[in-house]
Amino acid sequence: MLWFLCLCWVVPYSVLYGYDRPAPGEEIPLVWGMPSWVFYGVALPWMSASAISIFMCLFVIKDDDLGLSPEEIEAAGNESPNS
Amino acid sequence: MMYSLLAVGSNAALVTFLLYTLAVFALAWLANKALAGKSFMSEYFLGSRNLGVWAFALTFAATSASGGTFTGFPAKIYTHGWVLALWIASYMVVPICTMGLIGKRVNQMARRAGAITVPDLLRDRFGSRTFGLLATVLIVYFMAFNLSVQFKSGSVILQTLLRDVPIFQDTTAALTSFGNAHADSWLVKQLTPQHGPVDWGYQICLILFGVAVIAYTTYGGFRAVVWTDVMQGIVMVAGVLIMLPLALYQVGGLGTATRELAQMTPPQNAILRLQLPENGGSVPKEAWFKSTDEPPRIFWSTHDAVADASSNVVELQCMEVTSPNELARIRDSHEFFSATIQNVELAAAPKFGANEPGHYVTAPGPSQTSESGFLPFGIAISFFFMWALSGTGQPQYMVRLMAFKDSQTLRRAILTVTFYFGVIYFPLVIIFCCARVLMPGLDHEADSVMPRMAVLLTTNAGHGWLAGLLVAAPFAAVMSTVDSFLLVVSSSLVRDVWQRNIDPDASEKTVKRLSYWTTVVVGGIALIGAVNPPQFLQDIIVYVGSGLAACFLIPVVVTLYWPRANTAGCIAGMLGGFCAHLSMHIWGMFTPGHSFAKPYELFGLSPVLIGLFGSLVATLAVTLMTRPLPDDIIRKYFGKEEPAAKTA
Repeated sequence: MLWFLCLCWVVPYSVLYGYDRPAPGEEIPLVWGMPSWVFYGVALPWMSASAISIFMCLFVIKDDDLGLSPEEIEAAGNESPNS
Repeated sequence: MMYSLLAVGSNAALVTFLLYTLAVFALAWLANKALAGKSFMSEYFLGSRNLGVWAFALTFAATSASGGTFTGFPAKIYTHGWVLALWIASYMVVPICTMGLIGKRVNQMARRAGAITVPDLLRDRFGSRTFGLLATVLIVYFMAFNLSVQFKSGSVILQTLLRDVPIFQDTTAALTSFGNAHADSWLVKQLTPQHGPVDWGYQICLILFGVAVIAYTTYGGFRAVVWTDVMQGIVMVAGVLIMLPLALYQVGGLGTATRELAQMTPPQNAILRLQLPENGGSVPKEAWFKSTDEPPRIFWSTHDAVADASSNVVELQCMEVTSPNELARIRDSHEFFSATIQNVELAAAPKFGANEPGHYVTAPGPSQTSESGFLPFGIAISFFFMWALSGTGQPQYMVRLMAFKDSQTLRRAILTVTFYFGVIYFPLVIIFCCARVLMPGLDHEADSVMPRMAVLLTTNAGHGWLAGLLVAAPFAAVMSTVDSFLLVVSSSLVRDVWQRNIDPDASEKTVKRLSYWTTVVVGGIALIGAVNPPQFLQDIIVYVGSGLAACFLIPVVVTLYWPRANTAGCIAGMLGGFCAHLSMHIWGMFTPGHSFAKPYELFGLSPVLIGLFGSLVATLAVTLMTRPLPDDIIRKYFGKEEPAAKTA
C-alpha cells in the first residue's frame, strides 16, 4: 500500500514536472539547492515514506511468536530433560 | 589533473587496507569460536537464528549496498545527473517492502521447516526435491554471474587504493617484465584480455581481494559475514557522511552545483590527430589538449597512444568538452599536454542531449547510447517496481530474514534500515552531482569516480589521510556483498544438493569439511571467472537482481501466503519468470542498438516487469489447473500446530 502511494506520488509528479527542460535563458527553479521537481517528486516523498515506515514499525506491526526451530527444541530438551 | 593517492602521503592507503583486513580476520576468528558447541549447519549457514537488531539491520543493508552502490551508481549520477534521484527513488520503500512484507512469515516458516537455506524451505513447504533442486540451480546460475563481477569491482577499488604504494608498484613492474618475457606462455595468454595487454596490477589485487574474502567467509561462516557486514555498514555510512559536507563546501553549495549542471552539455567523442614534440612519443590517458582556435576547444584523451618510432604524429581517441561554463573553468585550472592538434574528427555524437543545456537537471537525462535519453517514462516506472520489489524474495535477503531472533528485532531493524538507506542513497546523488562540477573529464572512466572524488575532497580539505577511510567504503560494500553471495551458493550446494539428495545421513564432521571446501572451491571458481571479467558492472548487477526477482518473487510470495499454492504452479512460475526475463535479453542480442547487457524493452518496460508478469501468469494458471497439496502439509504451515520434528 505504501509502495503504491509512493508510486502514485513520485512517478506522475516527476513525469509532469521533471521531464520539461527549461527554455534557453530560463533558470531552473530550485528548492534547497536541488531542482524543485527532485525536491517535491523524490526528496519529500522519501522523507514522508520514511516517517510512515518508522510509524508502522513503532505502532502498527504487531509482535508475533515465531515458534521454535528443531535445533532450538533439541537444545531446550538437552537443557531440561525432565520438562 | 590526476587524482592519485600519492598526494595523500606515504603508505596511508596500504596501512588502512591492512588494518581493515586485520579487523575482518579478527571477526572471522571470533565467529569461528562461536561455532563451538552449536549445530554446525545452523550456526555456520544461519548464525543459529538469533541475530539482534544491529547485526540483522546492518547485514541486510550492507548486503543490499553492493559494489554497484559505490561504483556503478556514482558513475551513473556523474554521467546522467539529477535524474538518478528518480531512478533510485523506490529505495524509500525498500525496507518496509522487502523486510516487512515477508520477513515475519519467512522466519516462522523456516523455523517450522528447520530450513537453513531458501531451497531448503521451498523443498519442505511443498515436499518436493525437484523444486528445491530447481531453486538451487537458479541461485547458482545467477550468483555465479554476480560473484565474478563483484570480484572485479573489489579488485578495481583495491587497485585504486594501492596504486601509489611503492611495494605494489614494484611488484606490478616485476610481473609486467615477467609477462613480456613469457608472452607466449599458456598462463599469460589466459590472463590477456581481448583488447590490450595484461593488467598485472588488477591481477594482484584480484588475488589479494579474493583470497581475503574466501578465507574469512570460509573460516567464520554466516556469523563472520554478519559481523563483518556490521563493520562494513558503519564504514559505508561514515564514508558518505564525511563526503557530503566536504563536497557541498568545495563546490560552493548545492544551488551552485545545480546551476552549473543546468548549463552543461554532454561531451562529444572525437579523434585527434596530434603532432608530438619528438618521434616515437607517447600520450597518456586523461591528458588535456587545447586547440589554437579562438576561443580554444578543449579535449581529454580516453586512451593511451604511442607514435611510430619514425613518426611524431599520432591519432588519439578523445572527448571534447562542449559546455561553455566547463570550458572556462578547465582553461583556468588545468595543465595542457604539449602537442599540436593537426586535425579533429568528430565521432558519434551523444544520442540524446547533444549541445542542449539543461539535461543534467531534468529527466530523462542525457545519453550517449539511447535516443530516448537515460530514463524514459516506461523505464522510470519499471525501476520503481524493480528496486522495491526485486529484493523481496531474493535468496541473499531471504536467508537473513530466516536469521533474526524475534519479531521485535524485525520491527526495529526495518526502522534502522529505513534510516540507513535514506542517509546513503539520496546523499550519494548530491555528492556525485557535485563531482561532475568538481571533476570534469571522467565520462570515459566513470566507474572510478568514487575513489577519485574521495581523494580530491580530502586533499583539498587538507586531510588526505581520510582518503584511505573513504575509499574503504566502496571496498567494504563489495566485500559485504561477495561474502553473502558466496555463502548462499555454498550453503545451497552443501545443504540442498549433497545433504538432501546424495547423502542425507552424512555425519557432522563430513558436512563441516564439505562446507569449508565448497566455500573455497566456489570462491576459487568465481575468482578465476574474474580474471577476464565482463566490462559492464552495473548492467550485470541489474541482470542478476532483476533475474532473481523474476524467478523467485511470485513463487516465494505464494509459498508464504497462499495455502492453495502447489509444486507444479511454483515450478511453472519460477521457470516462466526465468524464460520471460531471459528472452528479453536474448531478443536484445538480435536487435540493433541493443545487446545481451542492454536488453529489449517490450512496451518500453524493463525485463523484470515482463519476467514478473510471466511468472505470475504461469504460477496462477498451472496452480489452478493442478491438484492442491495434501492437507498435512497445509496444516503444518498454515495451521497452529507445533514445529515438525527435526528433518535432517
